[in-house]
Amino acid sequence: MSMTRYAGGFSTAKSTMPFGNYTHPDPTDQHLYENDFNAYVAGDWTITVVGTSTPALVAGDGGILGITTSASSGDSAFLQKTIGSFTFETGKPAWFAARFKVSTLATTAVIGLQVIDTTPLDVTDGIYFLSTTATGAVTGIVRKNATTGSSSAAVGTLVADTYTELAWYWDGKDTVSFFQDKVGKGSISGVAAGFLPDTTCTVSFGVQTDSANARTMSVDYIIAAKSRR
Amino acid sequence: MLINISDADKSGKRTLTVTDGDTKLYSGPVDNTAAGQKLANVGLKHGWDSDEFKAATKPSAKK
Repeated sequence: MSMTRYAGGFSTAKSTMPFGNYTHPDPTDQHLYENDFNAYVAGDWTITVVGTSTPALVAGDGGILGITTSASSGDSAFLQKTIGSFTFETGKPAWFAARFKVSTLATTAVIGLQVIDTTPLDVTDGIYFLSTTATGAVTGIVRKNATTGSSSAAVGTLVADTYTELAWYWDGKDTVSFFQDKVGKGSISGVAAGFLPDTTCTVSFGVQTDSANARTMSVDYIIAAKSRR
Repeated sequence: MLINISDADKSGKRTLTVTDGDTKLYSGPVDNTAAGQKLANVGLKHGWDSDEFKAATKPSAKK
């Protein structure tokens, strides 16, 4: 396959704008958070643990953060980036993708953008993915104030000890689309004011063991972005 | 920040401990995991030195 080269660069900005002659797309187009977990600083996170757990980098290709619960049923470990920095608005699309795996399906895993809260499995606001223990079925959830609006869609299935990428896209109008491994799996549409989170959210993920065994969530990467345009 | 709810002791009680780096922000018993999560949410929302959190940690507030 041949490669198309733009030796002079390419831009998303008008020539009269500050980044108009920058040789890459305007870096201010989006608020972007991305973490490939080549590094991990615990102090960057609000970590809620039931039992004991010390999230840490683990050896493996791609940069991996390992989160292992302790071994009582219901023990859990959740990480939320300190502090909240994503809000949702009409007119401003947003994106999220994460690649991860869980050691077995006797777990409940959550990943996405959520309000900072000690109960990420049942949080009041966010756009996120929640797995079902035993089956690994994944649900995409869009939730505002828990009771004001909470919509969900079946997204796919986790396979034990197998990496998968879950992603969502808010189109800035009325629809959140969900993907697993680059394939569209479902969507939620409606009046934005009725279901779009209205609280500042943050990157959030974690795992709860649903049996008396330690369980591990391994996270390869997380990307979250929101248009500034 | 680490919000830790310990495993239950022999009496079923758990301990909520909140630390920020080397600084301990709070440590005290809670009746169960849900109570610890609820109490910690008050601290997250209002601050660990707030009147709201202090009120929530009073014994009468746990009833």
